[in-house]
Amino acid sequence: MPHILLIEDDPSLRQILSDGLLRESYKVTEAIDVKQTKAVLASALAQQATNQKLDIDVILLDLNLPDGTGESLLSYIRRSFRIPVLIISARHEEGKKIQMLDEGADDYLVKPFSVAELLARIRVAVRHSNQGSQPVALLYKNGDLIFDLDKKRLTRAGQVVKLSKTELKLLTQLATSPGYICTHRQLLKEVWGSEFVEHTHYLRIYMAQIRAKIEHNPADPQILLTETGIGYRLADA
Amino acid sequence: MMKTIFSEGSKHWWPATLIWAIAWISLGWLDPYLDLANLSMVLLIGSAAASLWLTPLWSIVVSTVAIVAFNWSFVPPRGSFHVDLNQHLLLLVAMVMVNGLIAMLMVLQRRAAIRSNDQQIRTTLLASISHDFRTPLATIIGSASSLHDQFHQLTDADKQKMIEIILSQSNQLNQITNNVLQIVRLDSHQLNLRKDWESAEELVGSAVKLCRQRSPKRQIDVSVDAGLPLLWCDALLVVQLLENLIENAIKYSPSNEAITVTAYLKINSLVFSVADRGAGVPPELVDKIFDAFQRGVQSSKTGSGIGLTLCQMIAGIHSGSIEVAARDGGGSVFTCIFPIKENMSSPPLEKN
Repeated sequence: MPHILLIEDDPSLRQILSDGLLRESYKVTEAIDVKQTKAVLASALAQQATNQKLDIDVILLDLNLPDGTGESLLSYIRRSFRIPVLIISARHEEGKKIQMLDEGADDYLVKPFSVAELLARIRVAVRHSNQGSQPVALLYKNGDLIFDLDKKRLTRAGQVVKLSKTELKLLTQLATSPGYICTHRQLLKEVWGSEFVEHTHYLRIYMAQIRAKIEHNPADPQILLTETGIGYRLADA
Repeated sequence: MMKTIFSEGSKHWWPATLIWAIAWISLGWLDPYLDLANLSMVLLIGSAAASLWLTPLWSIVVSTVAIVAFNWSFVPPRGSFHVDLNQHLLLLVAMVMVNGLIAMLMVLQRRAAIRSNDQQIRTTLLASISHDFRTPLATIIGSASSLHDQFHQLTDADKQKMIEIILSQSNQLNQITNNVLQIVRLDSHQLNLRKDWESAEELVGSAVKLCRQRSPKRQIDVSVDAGLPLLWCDALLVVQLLENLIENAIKYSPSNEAITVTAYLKINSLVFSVADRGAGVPPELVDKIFDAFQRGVQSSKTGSGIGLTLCQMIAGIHSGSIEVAARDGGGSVFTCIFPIKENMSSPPLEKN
């Protein structure tokens, strides 16, 4: 069963999250601060050296820990591991959250969140963890929409939907990791280049065009979802 | 403090100038009838009255100039400066002191008024917040304690209902907390606005999504005109504004009636509107509903006062406005109007 490393200092929240995960038969290791986390990761590394397989699949990381910041722990994790890291943050930590997503965190949850939200994010992350850097699937399906990443072909109810080059690049980027957040910066860098990372309005214009082609009501999107102030995600179908 | 007290306060040149003109005309008129000492009293009264409208510093400057002019015009030999040290200096010192003091007292009085107003707002805020927090808390504690104490007497349906109440009230509490935090941050200018180009479609879409999560059964009709210009704004704040309006619409109208959210262009503004089929806003509240919270008008339902106050603050930050009107066929329409700013670079053209 997938193994989750849960780093959370608040005892009651840790208990609730851990119980929620155990009930879905995940294996859970808890850590309450930076020190404990580093110990768990060190032993995981040692184990990986002997049996060639890392025992942790997803890391759930609270940004505020008693003995250090989430940022420093994230960069520590990223130095040795490619495991998906989900951040748990408070609402007012908007700027910090975006920075961490750009620096290698994979997704986030804002306190307070429901167990259902947590499980949905974990499912996506586990799938990624298993796939490594390969696209999760070469086919993205949602309702009557099918996007073939390999053939670069989008169909809706069997009809081919024409995409411009830029639209195709954007959609490919999102469909490579369905359910995962892509920040504005990541998308702009990937599609237009690093000198355009501040040009968020490019995204607004192109996302509107893509939505007009794939959504039934673009103002009430079910497929191409907006994460306000952060980025976009393709609904995990 | 002294440095600021000299320059603080109002500077209303018109009334001050008018009073000086009256004083000067009176001086000319009374000149033949009064001796110099009494004339200088007229000058003193005039300058004291003018000080009511000037900052302390300006009132001192102006009275000094007035004394020089008085010396030139009325102290013999007229049309020249005659300095009788004792008399002249006494008049100068008296006028400067009186005028400076009057202006300073005005400043202190204004400061006290502001302080007491601030105090009043804070008191209303606290009273309102604790009222708004206590209502959902009471419901949560009631349901949770009932589940805890009477678990075995409750039917499954009862339990289910209580759990739903706890969830919905907790969400309510969460929203009130978010609103209060945001008001405090906006009020103390701590917040760094994160303005960017945002699309109406996405702003509306995000707000509707959040409200749907909380009220999945409620019908929300969304209509956003195609091809709207982008809005230069802080997306989180504008989404919070729309979320509050939709949330209020849900709360204040019958659950079988749909909420309608629209966005459209009107002259040079982007307009968002949220319409419901509720009882409508009483006409006497239409003008006050957005700052009812600050004025201490208690709303009947939890949280709406804080929410609408926040909506108005957010609209204001974006040079926009918010209003409420009765809707044709019953209910109310809340409308936010944001002016459009047009100077962004277009994305590079691409060939298909």
